[in-house]
Amino acid sequence: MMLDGLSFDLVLSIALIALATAALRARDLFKGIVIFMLFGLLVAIAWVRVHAPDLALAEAAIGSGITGALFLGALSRIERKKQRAASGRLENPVGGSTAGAWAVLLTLVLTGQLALAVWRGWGYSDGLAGDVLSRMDESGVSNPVTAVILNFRAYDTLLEIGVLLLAVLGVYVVGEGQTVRDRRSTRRSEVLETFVHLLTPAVVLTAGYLVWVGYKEPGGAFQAGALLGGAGVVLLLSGRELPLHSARAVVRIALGGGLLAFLLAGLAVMQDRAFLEYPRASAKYIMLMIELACTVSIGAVLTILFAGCANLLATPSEEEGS
Amino acid sequence: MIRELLVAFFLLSGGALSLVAAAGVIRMPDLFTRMHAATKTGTVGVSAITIGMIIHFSEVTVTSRGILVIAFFLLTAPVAAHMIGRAAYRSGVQLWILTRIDEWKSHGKNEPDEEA
Repeated sequence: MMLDGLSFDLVLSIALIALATAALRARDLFKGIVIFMLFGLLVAIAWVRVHAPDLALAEAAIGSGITGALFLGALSRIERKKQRAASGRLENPVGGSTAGAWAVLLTLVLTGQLALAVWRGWGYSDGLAGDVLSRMDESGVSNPVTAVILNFRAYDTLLEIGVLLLAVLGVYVVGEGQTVRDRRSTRRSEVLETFVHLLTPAVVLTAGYLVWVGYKEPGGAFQAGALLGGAGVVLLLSGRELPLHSARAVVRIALGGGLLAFLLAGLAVMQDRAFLEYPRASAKYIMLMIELACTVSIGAVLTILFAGCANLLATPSEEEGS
Repeated sequence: MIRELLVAFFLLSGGALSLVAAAGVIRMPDLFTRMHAATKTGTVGVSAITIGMIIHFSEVTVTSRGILVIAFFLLTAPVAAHMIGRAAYRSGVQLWILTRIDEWKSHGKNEPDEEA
């Protein structure tokens, strides 16, 4: 039994290193992105192997799916700028230069530090797990990951939501808040449209389930939000026009709602407690409300990040594959 | 015992089908036939492995989720393959040199969408 797991882990580790190298060394940026997405999927499996299914879900959805879509969007925009005439593809700038040497040096230093940390902490590999588990009954939930993310270390999560909001503001600033016009809308695919029609409600339902189940099993706002974001991306790809203009009240509420709910919940308990220190009795419901608002926000953020790419690449000359 | 045999059957056949899919991706002559191999065999392979998992656990929570996994897979994989194939055809990926039938072309349409 143990040997089986070991050989699987070995193959997985080797494949991860090989894919990472291949992604960096790929001459063709497009190829590099595809390999990177594969890498993300294997990283998700690696998270499962270390018993972190929450992270695996987030990694598969965000690290592989949405990031890949963003990369592809950025790439097609770069290529369009280079007038895609000549050789079609861009050369991967990494490798062969002094920048490559520096990257290797940096990686070695980081790896060395990591190895040192693991070496020193060999006997204490549980980290803070014991502390968390011994105080689970104060958290209001039974999934330790959710307890840490939304209760014990809610501060970090609050700031993460803030960072996502800032990223979207950046997209709006760069994209000058134009309405999204997808150039593909002139070339519809009935198959894709029917598919999206069927799938979107199911995805929203699944996202709701993931938020709800987060209190006892893997799931939560980030995973559910990533699902919503994925649905948004597919909707955009199918040529649907979404009301994503920054002036719209719906968009502002959806984007800011997560941070707002977080702050309000944090402040509301401050009468006789510290910021974000929920009373034990209502902790579960406070966390659920925060998570629901954050799910909508994360979904909106991810959709708009992608739309920012698509929007920017749909500049004047519209000649998709004619 | 019977259950174990059933689980083994589904896991092995799923694995075998996935292997066939991998072989198809390497051996098939052009993008479209390669995708055909990967999608069809891959979908059935994953479904078989999931069925094996359902039988192994025989729990309501696992079964319901397993069925959902299969449903999502049956829904997404063919559509994704269709869209990739369509995009590839449109951007001028060459068909295999021995291809006999090209319906989009023989119908005299440059736009493959309107055929429905």
